[in-house]
Amino acid sequence: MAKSGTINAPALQLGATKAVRAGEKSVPTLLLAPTMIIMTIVGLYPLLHSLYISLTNYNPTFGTSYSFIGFANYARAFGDGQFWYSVGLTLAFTAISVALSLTLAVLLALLFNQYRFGFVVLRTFLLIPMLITPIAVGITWRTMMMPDLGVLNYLLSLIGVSHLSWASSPSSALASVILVDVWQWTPFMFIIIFAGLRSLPKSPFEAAAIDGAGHLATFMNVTLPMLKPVIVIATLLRVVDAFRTYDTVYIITRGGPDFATDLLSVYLQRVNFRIFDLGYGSALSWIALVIVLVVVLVFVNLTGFLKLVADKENR
Amino acid sequence: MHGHFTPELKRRTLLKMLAIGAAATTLSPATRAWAASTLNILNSNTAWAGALTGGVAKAYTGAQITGEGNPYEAHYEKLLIELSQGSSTFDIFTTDNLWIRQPLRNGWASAFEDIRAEDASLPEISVGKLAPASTTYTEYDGKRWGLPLVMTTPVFVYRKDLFEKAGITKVPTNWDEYRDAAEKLHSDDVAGNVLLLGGQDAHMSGDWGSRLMGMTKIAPNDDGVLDENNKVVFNSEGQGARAIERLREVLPFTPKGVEGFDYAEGSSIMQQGKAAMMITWSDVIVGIEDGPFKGKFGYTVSPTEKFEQQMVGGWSILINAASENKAEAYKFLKWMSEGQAYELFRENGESSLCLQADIDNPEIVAKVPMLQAFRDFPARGTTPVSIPPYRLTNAVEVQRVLYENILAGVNGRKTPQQAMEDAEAALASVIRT
Repeated sequence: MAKSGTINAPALQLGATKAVRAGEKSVPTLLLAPTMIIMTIVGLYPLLHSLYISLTNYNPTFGTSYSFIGFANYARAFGDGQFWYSVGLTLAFTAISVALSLTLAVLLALLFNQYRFGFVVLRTFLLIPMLITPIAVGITWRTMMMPDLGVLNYLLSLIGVSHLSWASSPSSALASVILVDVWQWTPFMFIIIFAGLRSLPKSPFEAAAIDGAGHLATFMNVTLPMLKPVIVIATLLRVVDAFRTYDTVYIITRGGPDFATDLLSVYLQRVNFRIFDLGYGSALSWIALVIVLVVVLVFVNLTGFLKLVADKENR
Repeated sequence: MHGHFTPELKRRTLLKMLAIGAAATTLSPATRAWAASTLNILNSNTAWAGALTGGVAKAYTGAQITGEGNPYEAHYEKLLIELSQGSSTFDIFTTDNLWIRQPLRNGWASAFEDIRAEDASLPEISVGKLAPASTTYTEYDGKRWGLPLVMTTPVFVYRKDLFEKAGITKVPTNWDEYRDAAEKLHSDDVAGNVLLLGGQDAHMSGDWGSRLMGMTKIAPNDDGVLDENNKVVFNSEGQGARAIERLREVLPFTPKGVEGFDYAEGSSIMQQGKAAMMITWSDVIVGIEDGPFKGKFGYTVSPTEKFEQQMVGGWSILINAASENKAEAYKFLKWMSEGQAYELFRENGESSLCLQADIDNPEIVAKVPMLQAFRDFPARGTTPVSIPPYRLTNAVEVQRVLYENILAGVNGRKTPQQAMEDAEAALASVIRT
C-alpha cells in the first residue's frame, strides 16, 4: 500500500515543469487576448464588412434592402473621372506638402540644434500648431484668408501687396490649403528629425571638422546620411497622414472652389455621407486603400527603408 | 471566519438591491408615463428650429419637447441614418422639403390618417390657417403626413440706397434689367451682384433654378427640372443652357472669391455692404438687417424671363414611423396647426413665415420685409412651382449632378449646351422612378 501510494517525485517534477511551461506559453496569448478581441471588433470586422458592402448596391436613401452586384462598383470606379481627378490631386497635394514640410523641418532642426538663449522656449512654441485640433485650424485660417475681411490681406496691404484670393479662387485654393497643412504638420516632422539629430554621435562631426569640411560638406556627407533613417520614418508617417487629409481642407474650402481642392477624402465623404451610395463609396475606399499601400511600398523600396531597418538591427 | 453580514456580502447585496430598484423604476408605470410625455425632435439650427425647442416647447404643455439642432448637411446625414435604421430616438423630425419624399417613400414617417385610425379619439388636423403653397409638400399618396414649418422662395434682395445713387428707378423684373443694373452698380468697392457658386443647393437652385423657372411654361405638376413622370425637361427648349448664359452674363459683376461662396458668405457680404444685389432663398438671408445697412435693403420676387413662375420651398415637420409616442406627437402637431407655434417662430426672428394671417397682415409684412416677396406674388401674377427635384427619393444626388454640370457651364469649362447635355446623360443612370 505504501508502495502504490508512493509519489514518483521526478515524474511529478517533470509534469509540474511541463505544466508551468504550458502555462507560461499561454500567458502572452491570454494577456494579448483583450486587445486582439477589441482590435478585431473595431478594426478587422468593419474592414471586412465594408469589403462586403462594396460588392452590393447598398444605399440607405432607398431603404435598407440591397442586392449583391459583384464587382460592378469597382468597374464603375475605373470610369469615374472625378475619382481619378481626386486621386491625382491628392497625390500632388501630398508630394508638395510633404516636400515643403520636410525641407522646413530639417532646416529648423539644424537651427535649433544649436545652443542659444531662448531656443528651448522657442522650440516649445514651434510645436503649438500640431497640438491644435484640425477643425479649429481650418476655421481660423479660413477666416484669415477671406479676401476682403481677412487679416492676411490686411497685413499684405500694409506692405503694398494687393489682395490675394487665397482659398477663394480655383487658381490659388490648392496652394492655400497646402500652406495650412505645412504650417500645421511641419512641427511634427521637426520633432522627429530634431530628436534624431540630437541622438547622432559626435565623433563623425569632430572628424569632419578636423578634416576641414565646411558646413555644407558636413551636412551633405555626414549629417544627412546618418539622419536618413529618421528622415525616412518621418516622411513615411507624414505621407500616409497627408494622403488622408480631410478636416482642414473641408472646413476651408469644402473641396472647392470649382473642385480645386476636391481631395480624395472629401470626395469619399461626399459619396458616402452626402449621396449615401455606401456600396460604391466602400468600393472607392478600398481602391484608395490599395493606392495608399502602393504609394507606401514604392516609397519603402525607393528609400531602402527595409535595408535601413535591417542594418540598424544588425549593429 | 466570516459571519452572515460581512462587508463583502453587504456590498454585493447593496449592488443587487440598487439594480433591482433601477429596473423597477424604469419599468414602473410612472416612469413610462414620464418618458411617453417627452417628445424628441430631430431638428435643424435655424431661427424657427431654435423657436421650436425654445418658445414653442415652453408654450406647449401637453408634453416636454426636447431636440438637438444640427447644421444643414449634418441634419440630412443624421436624418437619413436614424430613420433608415428604424431608430426611435426621435419622435418627430424636421426636413427640408427637397428631401421630403425620401422618408415618405421609404415608410419612415406616419400619416395623420393612419395615426388617427389607431386612436379615434385624436382630433383631425386642419391646415386651413397655413398658406396653401406651403402645405403641398406634406401631401402624398392621398394622405397628410406632416405640417409645413416655413415657406421659402428665392428673394431678390437689393440695396435701395445704391439704386437711388445709381439712378435706377425701377427694380428689375426681368433678367435683362437685372444684368444692366448689375453692371451699373458694380464698382471696385461694391460688387453689382452676388452668385453663390460654392454651394450645391445655393447655386443649383438659388442661382440657376431661379433663372430657369421663368424660361418656359411649366406644366401644373412639373417642377421645371422633371415632369410629373420624372422625365428630365430642364433643357427641353434649351432653357437650362439659357439659364447658365444668364448666370455667365452677370459673373463679371460679382465680388472677388465668389467661386467659394455659399449661403453664409452671401449673407455676410450683403450685410457688410460689399454687394448691391443678391437672389437666394429667403430662409438663408440671415442677419443682413443686423449690420450697418439696416433698413436700406429692399425685398421682392426674383426677376424672370418670360413667365411669372417661382419656386416655393421650405421645411416640414413629420412624425417618425418608429416612434413609440405617435399619439403624443400627433397632438403636438395638432396644437401647432392652430397657429401659436408659427407666431412664436415669427417672434423668434424667423422671416419665412407660412401662417396665412401673417402674410395678409400689412403690419407684420412691414416688420418682416422678406414677406414682401410673397405679397408681390399676386401683384405679379406669380405661379408657385415646387422645388426641383423634390419628387425623387435621391433628390440630393440628382441635385449634385446638376450642380457639377451647371458650375462647369458657368465657369466656362463646358459650353452651356454641353453642360446640360452632360447633365441629362449623367442623370439617366441616377434617376430612379
